[in-house]
Amino acid sequence: MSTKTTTIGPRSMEEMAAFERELDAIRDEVQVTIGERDAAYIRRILRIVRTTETLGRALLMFGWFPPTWLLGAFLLGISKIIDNMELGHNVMHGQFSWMNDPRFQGDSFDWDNTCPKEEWRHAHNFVHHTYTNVIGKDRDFGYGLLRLSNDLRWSWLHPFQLLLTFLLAAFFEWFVAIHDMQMDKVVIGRKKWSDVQPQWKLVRAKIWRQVRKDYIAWPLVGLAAGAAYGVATGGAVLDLATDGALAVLAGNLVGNFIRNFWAWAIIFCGHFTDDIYTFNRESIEGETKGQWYLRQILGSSNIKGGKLLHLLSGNLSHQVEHHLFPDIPANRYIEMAPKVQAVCAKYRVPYNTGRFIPQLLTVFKRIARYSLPGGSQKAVTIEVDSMLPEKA
Amino acid sequence: MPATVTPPATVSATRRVASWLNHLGVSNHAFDDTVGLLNPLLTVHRLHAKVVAKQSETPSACSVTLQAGPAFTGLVPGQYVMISVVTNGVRHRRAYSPRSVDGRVDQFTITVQRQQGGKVSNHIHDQLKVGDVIEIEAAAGDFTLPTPCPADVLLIAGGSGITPCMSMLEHLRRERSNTRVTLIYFARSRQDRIFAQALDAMASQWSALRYVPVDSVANTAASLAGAQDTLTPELLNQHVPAWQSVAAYCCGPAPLMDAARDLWKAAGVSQRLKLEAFAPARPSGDPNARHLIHIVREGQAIDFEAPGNETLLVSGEKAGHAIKHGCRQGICHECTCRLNSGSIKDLVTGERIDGDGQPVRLCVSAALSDLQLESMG
Repeated sequence: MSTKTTTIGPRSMEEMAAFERELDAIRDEVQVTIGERDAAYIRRILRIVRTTETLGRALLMFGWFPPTWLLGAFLLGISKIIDNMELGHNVMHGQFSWMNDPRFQGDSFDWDNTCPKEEWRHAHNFVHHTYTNVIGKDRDFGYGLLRLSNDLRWSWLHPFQLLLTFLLAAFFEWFVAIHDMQMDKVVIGRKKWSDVQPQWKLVRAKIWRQVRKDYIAWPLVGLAAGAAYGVATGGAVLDLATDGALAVLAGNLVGNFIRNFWAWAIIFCGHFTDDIYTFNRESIEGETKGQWYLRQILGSSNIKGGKLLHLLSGNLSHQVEHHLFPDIPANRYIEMAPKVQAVCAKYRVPYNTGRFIPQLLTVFKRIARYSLPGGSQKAVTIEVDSMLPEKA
Repeated sequence: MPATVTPPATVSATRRVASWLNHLGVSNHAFDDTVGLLNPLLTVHRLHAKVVAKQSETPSACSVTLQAGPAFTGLVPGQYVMISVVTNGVRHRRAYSPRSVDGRVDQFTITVQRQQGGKVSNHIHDQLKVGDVIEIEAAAGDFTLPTPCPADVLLIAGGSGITPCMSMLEHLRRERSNTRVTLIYFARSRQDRIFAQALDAMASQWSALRYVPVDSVANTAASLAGAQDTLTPELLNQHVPAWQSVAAYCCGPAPLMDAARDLWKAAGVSQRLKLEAFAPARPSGDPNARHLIHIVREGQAIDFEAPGNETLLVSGEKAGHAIKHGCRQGICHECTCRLNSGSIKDLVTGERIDGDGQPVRLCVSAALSDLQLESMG
């Protein structure tokens, strides 16, 4: 591995401490003003999720009639996107637990997704957010499938990783559901299947609930609606009932695909754009809060856009702010971003941001480049003195 | 006892429909919220009640009469009901002892003493008005009279601790019970005595009630001037010579309850005394104090001691317990538990949290008192 030295961010321990204090101050300033405004915001998001889902599912009851079917599937997809991202992801981070409202508690909230809430909270809130972009620790970096930096060993699988990425995007919720079971380790024999059993039980139960809802229960409602329409109009009851069920089934399938592709795109733009750095396990030992902050910024990228993009991305368009302050209500990131950007400029820390399509293109570029051996060095070691006495 | 009733058929049917809708992905919360759009009192999981009357009892206490919906199954006199109000986006839950209105199942009155700096009591006094809807929970608690009611009952109340006792008294009066009741009621002064007139009237009309009002500031903040009478064997012997053999109930400030607990213990009849407290535990503020921590996780309890200058996670681990956690720095919420009682200091915000079911993170919390926690992960 190359030993090129890049100088990023604070130059001394004193500067690092000042950097930490300034970011802490941004957090504290917002923390004291959290209240009714944020509660009203998340309640509104919940209303939007429920309204779009109700409308979407209602429209799918009209069978294959293109205007209603297309709009129904689209609205259902939007509803699932907002449920998973702006509502679910943020609530499950505990951003709204202070409300003490059982609808918004991080530990009991469950989302419209095949990934069980317990698995998500461990894999995402703990592993990913604590060890962001640390190779060998943060399993979100490439999901144990993709090679996205040159500090990962190349293998015969990687030339196919663009194709694999397409599958990952299409079936994103399913990959996320089994993500924390670490099946790649089971396959290569580093983990026993019996160790994964308790997790698999949770995952299986959640998958069954989702399948029963989207692919059995709602199609049965569609079947009943079609039959009722047939009886009322004197049409072919059997045909109309079958059509009704199939239209709902297909609509739900499309709704899930819409959510999967979108969630995949947003998440990949958050951590796998071109200017993202990775870290090794040793470099985070005895890390200070300031160094942790620095790593979060170097490992995340934002997406520029309007309010709609922020809403539909679950404010992961403010991935940097989210990684710095994962339990601050997401609706506040927009006001924190300019302050964070100013601190970054002051301490010469690159603040990675860009518009959605260009960012997504750099993601594809990255996936394509590292599908072949080699690739440019993106691994960095944060080289200011550690706080630990033995390293001082 | 006019105890609790089974919910009407409409409520069971509504719950059944809600459980069917669960299969379609409609959560109980979504169901309740939707029903609530029509009428908030018709919710069947999270219950609500409407304020139908509000009146002042003393300069610092007011009574609020609430109309509950059909899913509220009534109360046994002496039980408490959790009331939730939302202030600045935060839902706060507190226990109050309700009195049934004329023995009705669906209407009850709570009496709220204004607490200095109290979020809920001040909200109820200053903001809550007739027509407002607040969240309630089913009645609970075992500070209740046995069935059948014994021939003699002793009630000892202090300050707003009169509320469950008043609920029992009104019930016995309504039922024309033959039970002889003695009420020893400590209050700072006549002016501060909640239900002063109602109790005088009740005592004059009801020969089986012996009413002993005691003006005393002994159990309140020490700086107040006034009589210092406390609960003593002399006082008990004077009014209830057989106090050791009757069913006794005590509700009031901590010093009063401590005195009662000691007296009954010394007499060897602790089992005849029932105590009820719902004031928040007071933080000791003593860095050397070791607090008793009780955490329930999936039905299994762990207990350990924690000093106030260490996080609960570290104390628990030092005591040899494996406690579920993640980042250890307050980020990931893996170690979050519900704080059901007691007070902690949140080391991130420096804020003190008095437990009424809020989620707290063990890795950034230090104990200020004994704690009851429930792991949710």
